[in-house]
Amino acid sequence: MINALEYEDEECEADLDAIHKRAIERFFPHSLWRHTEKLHFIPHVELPGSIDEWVPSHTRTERILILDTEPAELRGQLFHDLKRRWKRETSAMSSVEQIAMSPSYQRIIGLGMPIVPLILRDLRKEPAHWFWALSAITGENPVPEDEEGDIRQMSQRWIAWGHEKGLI
Amino acid sequence: MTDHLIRIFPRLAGVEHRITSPQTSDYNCIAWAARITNRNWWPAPGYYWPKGIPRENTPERFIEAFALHGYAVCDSPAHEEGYEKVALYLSNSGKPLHMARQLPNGLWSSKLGWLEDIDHETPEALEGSDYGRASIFLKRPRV
Repeated sequence: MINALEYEDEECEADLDAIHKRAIERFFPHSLWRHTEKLHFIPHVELPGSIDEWVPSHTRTERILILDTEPAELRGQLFHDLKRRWKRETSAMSSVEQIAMSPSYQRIIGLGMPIVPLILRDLRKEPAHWFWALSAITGENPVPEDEEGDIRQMSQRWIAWGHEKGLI
Repeated sequence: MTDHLIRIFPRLAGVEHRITSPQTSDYNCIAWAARITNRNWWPAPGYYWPKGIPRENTPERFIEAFALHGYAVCDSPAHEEGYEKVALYLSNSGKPLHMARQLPNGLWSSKLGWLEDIDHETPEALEGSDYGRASIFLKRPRV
């Protein structure tokens, strides 16, 4: 499995800068990528061939870096950063569609199954609108109809589901 | 004290307003307009929505949902003795984004996402990019 990191040149934030710096130092210690902007995981991308085959072509487009290891620690930090941005962007919103369609929330959904344990652990700390993401990623919905909208009960249902599946 | 709200709703700066609850995600603005404080109402899968009303994010479905609570569409947000009013805020494309409830003293009360409840002088005080415009008003006899 080869994991890819995609960077973008949005406004800088401390956490992502730190992730970027560590990733570059770890995986590309002698690379000019040291001077690129930001990195984001694409955890489910599987690419044929070796890093040597892929990095030069993407270097030219300046879009994607390839990693050959499971970046669990970095993924956790990315989740934390995206969650913070999502909560800041949507804190006053009521529309579930608006909340779920925020770019940060959509990027969390895009991180796929590996992010589910982090979402469930976050739910354990604080009920929040993670249900859309959990259902989108897992295809499941453990919440009975008579508990819909009860954020605390919904959180408990999902946490129990995570235990049952061995995810937390 | 309300600086964090004024950053999101700049029009609040010019009108009377005050925070009336701690932050919580136990309920949202639609539930609050319906006087419910343990549910999040929205016509999306997984959220509470009155049985029998299609889960469609349209003004018509919100009007139907509140008709179950005795509300009917009215012309204006003006305070009327003996009536309770709610305001439905819509985006430019006509999608519901927020609801507020009028208090007996004529002020309005809103639950702001997962932030606080506030009282605000007018429905217009919350208009802007997050909530769009207060576009539809409903009323029922106050009990």
